[in-house]
Amino acid sequence: MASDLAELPAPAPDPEAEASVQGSISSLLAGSDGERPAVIRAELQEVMFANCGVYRTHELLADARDAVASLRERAAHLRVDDRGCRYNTDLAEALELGFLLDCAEATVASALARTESRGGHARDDFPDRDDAAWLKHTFATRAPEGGKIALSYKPVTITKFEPKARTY
Amino acid sequence: MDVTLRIRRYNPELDDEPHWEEYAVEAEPTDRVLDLLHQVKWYQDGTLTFRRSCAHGVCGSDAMLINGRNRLACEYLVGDAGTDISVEAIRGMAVVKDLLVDMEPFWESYRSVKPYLVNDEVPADGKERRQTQAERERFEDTSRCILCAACTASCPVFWADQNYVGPAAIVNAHRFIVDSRDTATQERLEIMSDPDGVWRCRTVFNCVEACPRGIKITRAILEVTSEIGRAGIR
Repeated sequence: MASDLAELPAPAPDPEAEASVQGSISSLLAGSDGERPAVIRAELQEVMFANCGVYRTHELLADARDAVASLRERAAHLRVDDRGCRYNTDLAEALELGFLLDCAEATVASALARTESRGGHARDDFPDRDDAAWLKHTFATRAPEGGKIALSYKPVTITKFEPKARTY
Repeated sequence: MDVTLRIRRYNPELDDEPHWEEYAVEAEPTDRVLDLLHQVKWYQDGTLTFRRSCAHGVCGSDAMLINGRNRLACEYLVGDAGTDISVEAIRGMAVVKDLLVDMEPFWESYRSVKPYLVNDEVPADGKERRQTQAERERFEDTSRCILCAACTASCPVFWADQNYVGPAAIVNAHRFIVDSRDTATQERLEIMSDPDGVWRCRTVFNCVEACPRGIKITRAILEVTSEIGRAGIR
């Protein structure tokens, strides 16, 4: 497969996106003091498990939002031991921590806004499904320069399975 | 319990030679060796490099030579491994870094046996190719391979000659050779009959001892040789 892939023409990366990724890699490799990514990741996992699981409330989610924000601040300075260019999984894990924080922030913001219960999103403070207000997909986006998460929505296309109450 | 973990480290960017390093870690007997490697990587020395994906004995990414035997780090418990544990990369393949080897020659051998169902005919009923339970049973054992390379990297014939296709590739050839639905049996048997193929096996049984899935590899290899004989290939 490697030889097949090698023959395929690769699209050139978007210069802006490439510069931004290269910027985060060089700043991670240049940093010397800071926390280990694994420490912050473990705390992120704990708070997301405890506060943003299937059963959620406004209080739990608001706490998660604040906790994720403070973890993001701490993740601005990370310690990466491996400065090499060869299979650097230490660097990869540090980069991935940023992605995990993005996903966590988007998940918490979307869940906080959705004041209903639907499938795996069970709000104890809003136990009923609310099709009038919430039969829609959530999009979470962030302005490029580290802005806040903005939410937008898209209507659901109903095909074979009509939404109906779970009575089992 | 306190465990001393000895790891054979090698980073070709920095080191002329591989060397051993020792790490003190605290562990429960129910922890896996992979947990200890994580402890080192995450909290002691981020430069330690190894592969792992599912971490539950299915993906086959973390085969390593642990206490002298090839095993999956995610399946080997500290309670069984003891308080002095040595870990090094599997043998016979070039070390990329620390416990991580270049698997490409292994994949090349794997690909060479056409490890996929070959059958261009339309099934009799137009829908599916039926098998009896006995026909299915013939490749039950070899279909359980997870391609971790523990077998091939434990084989002294492979250590001596990396052109040998190796037990893992033969296991995967067997899986299709004995499959009643497959139509490329003859072609695969000819591949297996190559000088670098199945005849290089010296029935050392290292592969069987190393296999984390308990596949009877030597039996599969001998079944392939008898299929070659039956097919009259010389």
